[in-house]
Amino acid sequence: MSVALPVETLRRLFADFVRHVPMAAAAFDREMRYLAHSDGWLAAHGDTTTRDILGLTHYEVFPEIRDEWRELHRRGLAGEIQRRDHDYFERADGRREWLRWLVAPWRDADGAVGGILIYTENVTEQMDTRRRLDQRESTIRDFFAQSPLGLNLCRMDGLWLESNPAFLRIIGYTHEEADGGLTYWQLTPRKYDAAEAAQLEQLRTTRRYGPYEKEFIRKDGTTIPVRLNGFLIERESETLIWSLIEDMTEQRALEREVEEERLKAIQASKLAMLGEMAAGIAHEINNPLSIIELFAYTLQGALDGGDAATAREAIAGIRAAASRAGKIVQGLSRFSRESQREPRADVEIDAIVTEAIGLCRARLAGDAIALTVDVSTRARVEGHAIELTQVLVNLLNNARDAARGAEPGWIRITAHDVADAPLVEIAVEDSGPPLPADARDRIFRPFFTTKKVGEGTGLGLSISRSIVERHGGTLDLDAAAPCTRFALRLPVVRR
Amino acid sequence: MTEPVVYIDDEPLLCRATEAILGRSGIAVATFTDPLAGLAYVEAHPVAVVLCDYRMPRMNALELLQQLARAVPFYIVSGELDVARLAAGNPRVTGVLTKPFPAEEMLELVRAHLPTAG
Repeated sequence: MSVALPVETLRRLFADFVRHVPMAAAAFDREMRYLAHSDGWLAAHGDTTTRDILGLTHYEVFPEIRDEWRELHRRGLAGEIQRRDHDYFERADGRREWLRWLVAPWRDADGAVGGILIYTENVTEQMDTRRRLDQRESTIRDFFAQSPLGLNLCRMDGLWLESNPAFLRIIGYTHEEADGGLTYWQLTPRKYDAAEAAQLEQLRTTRRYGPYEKEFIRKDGTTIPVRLNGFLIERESETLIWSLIEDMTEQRALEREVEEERLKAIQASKLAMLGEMAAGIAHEINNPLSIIELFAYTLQGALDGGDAATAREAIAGIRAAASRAGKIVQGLSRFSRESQREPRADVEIDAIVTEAIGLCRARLAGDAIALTVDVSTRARVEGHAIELTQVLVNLLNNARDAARGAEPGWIRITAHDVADAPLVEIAVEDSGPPLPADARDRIFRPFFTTKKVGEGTGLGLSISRSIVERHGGTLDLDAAAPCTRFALRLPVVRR
Repeated sequence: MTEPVVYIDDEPLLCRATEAILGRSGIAVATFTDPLAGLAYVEAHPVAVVLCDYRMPRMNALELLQQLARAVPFYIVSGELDVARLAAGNPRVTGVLTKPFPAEEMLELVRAHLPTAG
């Protein structure tokens, strides 16, 4: 239905309508003379004047119009509708713009082409924005796809929404299986229930969680150690969780390796100490063997001569010697065992002091060194008895090396509860020459020794200290003592 | 009166066993667990031969020998590794017995220093 309006009104309506079109628009007659144009038309063409161009041809107003445009005009006048949504255009003044334009014929009452209409819109800004957004999206997409760190978006109920390739590799599922199909809980071993609750609480109160170490169950049923960090986001009024997932497999393997090396070093140091103590140990065993040999000979004679009394005495001596040798060997076996085979247990301090003295006794006696033992503690610590005995043997051997040749030569080993602290202190003192000041800080370093070549590996104190520290304690040279005094302190277990 | 064999060792059972073996063979023997007592005895009495344990509290066999003014046949008895090294080059050390030596070896050694039975 059309509205009948007086011609003059139509003319005014048309003029106003075109003026306010919010883009560059113009209407031309067959000779390309301006019939009407929007207010923005001149400015869009780089003309800041407000001259009256009605009646002038387009080419008079803009003589620099290029041939391609003239061709478009011709085609429009021939009845063709032409449009371009994104046309890259370099203006005469050097400006580069993206234009959206439309050229269409208008027809008169008889249906003949009366001229053309041209609409142009500068879409440069939209194009720039679109390009920036595309770039941004592409950057983020690349980041997500290529990130070596696993990335995962999930719902508060644990359903996975988006997983990147790195994360899918960690759990061993495909994108189709995981996103929208699996939940966080399905892949979490039950033993982490308590830890999970704690992480959820942290997430609730701080909007972040982690660092959190746990395991996922992979598609093939194996578990993989991971470390997670994450935070909450709101997306279209829904709360979701982003998580970063690190594969900890290699790190765990490395940690295991380091621990194995540490245990090997402890064992090696211990065996080195045993080697140094070998002479004393041989003596300890050869005496009982000699007793057995001589009493066996005596027993033979007593049997031949019917001397029951001597026979009985000989037998008693043999058995006592055998028992003694047995204890020495048992002590050595205990000491030689690898500590990693022992689980952590309660260790009685007075027992390990006795054990250490037993292992060192022969050497100490032979060097005319007086040993004083002052143990008043009944404390227990938690850890490895063999490792702690090794530390005491190390200290006693060092004390013996220092005290030997000193006048007088003595060693004192003490073990007492520390006042006002849940600690026990074991100390080994010797009458040897004081350590030179510059050695005092270096003695705990690996391979440092004040002994001559062949008399010590220099590993003992560094390993001893690492053992003590692993037990939560300290091993130090007591600089305040009047003699050389090494003190180790350990946290006590109160049971 | 034959001169006795002197056996010095801080291990009392070894002194007792040595007494039993030598005694059974009719050989006079004096044993000491205290090296100072043993030293005093040897200085004051004629002895046939001294067998002395190397490693003892307060002094070892070489230290004792050093303090002994007289010349006597002196054997070091030891359960140590590398016993020969202990005695090397010391002209006052007659020989070394390594524990655990067979009883016969001790008897043979001792008999070599006794006057032949007449």
